[in-house]
Amino acid sequence: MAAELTMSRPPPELSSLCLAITEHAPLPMATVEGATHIVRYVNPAFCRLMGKTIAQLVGKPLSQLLPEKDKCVALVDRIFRRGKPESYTEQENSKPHPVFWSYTVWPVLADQHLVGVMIQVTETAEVHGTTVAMNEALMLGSVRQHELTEAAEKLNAQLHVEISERKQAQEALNRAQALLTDRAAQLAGLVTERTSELTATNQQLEAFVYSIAHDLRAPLRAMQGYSRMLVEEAGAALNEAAKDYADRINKSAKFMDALLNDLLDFSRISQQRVELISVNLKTVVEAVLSRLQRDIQAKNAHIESHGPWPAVLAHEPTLIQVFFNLMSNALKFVPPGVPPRIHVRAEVVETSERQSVGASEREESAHASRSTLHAPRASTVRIWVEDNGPGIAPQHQDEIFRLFTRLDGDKYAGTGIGLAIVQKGAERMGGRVGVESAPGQGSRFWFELKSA
Amino acid sequence: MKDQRTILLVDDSENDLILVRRAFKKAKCNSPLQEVRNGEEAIAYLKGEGPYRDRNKFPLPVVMLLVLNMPKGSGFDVLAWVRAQPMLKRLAIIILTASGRSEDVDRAFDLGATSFFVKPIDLEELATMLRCLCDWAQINRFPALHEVGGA
Repeated sequence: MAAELTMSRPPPELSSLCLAITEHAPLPMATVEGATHIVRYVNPAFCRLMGKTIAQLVGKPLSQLLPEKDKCVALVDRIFRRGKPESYTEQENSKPHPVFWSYTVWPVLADQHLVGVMIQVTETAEVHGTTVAMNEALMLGSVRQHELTEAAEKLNAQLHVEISERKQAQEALNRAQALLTDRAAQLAGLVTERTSELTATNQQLEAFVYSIAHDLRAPLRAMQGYSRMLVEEAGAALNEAAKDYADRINKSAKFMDALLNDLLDFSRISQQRVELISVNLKTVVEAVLSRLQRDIQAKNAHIESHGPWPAVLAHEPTLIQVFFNLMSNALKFVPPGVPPRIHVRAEVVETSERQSVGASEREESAHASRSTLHAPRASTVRIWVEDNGPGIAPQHQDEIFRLFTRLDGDKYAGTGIGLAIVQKGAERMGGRVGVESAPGQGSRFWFELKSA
Repeated sequence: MKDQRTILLVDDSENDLILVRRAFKKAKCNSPLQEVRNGEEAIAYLKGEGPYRDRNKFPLPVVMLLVLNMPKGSGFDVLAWVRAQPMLKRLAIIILTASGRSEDVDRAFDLGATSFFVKPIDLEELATMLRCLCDWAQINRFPALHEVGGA
């Protein structure tokens, strides 16, 4: 109706429900704002009480609307200062019978800041306790409601914040998860790519090594062949020194060929696929001895090889290479004129012996022993190749397994690759190698493989 | 008659050809040697084409010693070609090459090589190897090349 059309601007703090209540309340109510107490809202009852229209009231300072020195102004001031609700009653004597004005004033808070004051005015013919008490109760109720609404709104807002934070966290988590999945896929792709690249590189490298070996051997063959032909064709015309030079060319070419062959073996043993199967040690020993037959006879070597030969887990070509190199070393490294005496045997090293083996190894390592790995094994087979060579001082026992190590390069023909091949081969088969030796006492080389 | 069993050397290295001839001499092997320098020449020789038209001068060999790594037609190419020729497929082909790479050995036998020798570095050892080859050639029964079985 008209009341709605002429409604004054309600404070934003008033919800629509509250507004409906105050609009229809029989009690006159108004709110003022700021230190000068500008009226911002009046309900119809307030207009009726003052006998003025909304337009005559809203926007005016409260002090202009009230009789001079009305105590209400001071009261509103106090509310503004203290932020606490108050009520008071005033008697008016201008009328034939006394009239009482009862004011209830409370602060309007927004976000705990005082933004205005709500005034409720009641006119009664007499003051009695009930009215005052009711007014106070109403006032306290209003304040309490306001506080509760505010608390609820605060909680609501907090909840809202928490929900949105949670949502954000969930979204961040989802994003991280997607990123992680993405990254994992990328990594897997990269690994596949790298692996195939490495495989290709490995193959290229192997092909490269072979073609180098191939191409280097052709001129070596020529050097060897022609130096020999030179002596054969012109031997009579050459003096001893010249013959010696030709011989040195010949020998150097042969040595370089041995180097190339050993490097090829080392490269092959390092790169080839090694699949372990049960291998008969006896067959391997026999194959190697038969390959070395010519050397054994030429050096008048005495070979003792004892069974039993337990089955081992090995890659047969690698095992043959490892054993061949150890045997060939044992034949090679003997003082001139001394026939090689070689003892070959195998023993099973059980788990129960592990402690004592470990202890003796530690003890020996202080004197004359080495081992390349220290991983314990369930059941392993240790193959021994014992020789009557010059022996190796403890300080050199690590060194000899390194590539290109030749302790007595002048005395013995060797490329310094043989034992590196032995070690690499044993390791490729999951085994290890070692030597027990002392100068003048021969060497006892060993390698271990898993028993089959 | 047995001395007329021609051996064809296919090798791109002049040094090696000289050494192999020398080793044959050391081995006291009297088989006539013919030599060509690459795969294309080997095929032309076997076909009797171009400079090799005269079969009296360039008789079909009983054994071909073939290097694998060569320009203009590798040993593998020659091997595959020979095995695909109805008139030549029974020719004994011995690979005589610089390195015994196991993949090469397998591939050569897959393609039908008769034997696979790795050239030793030592001239004496090469002579010993060729001596064995000559002995083998003496006792080996060679198949006819011109007649194609069943055709």
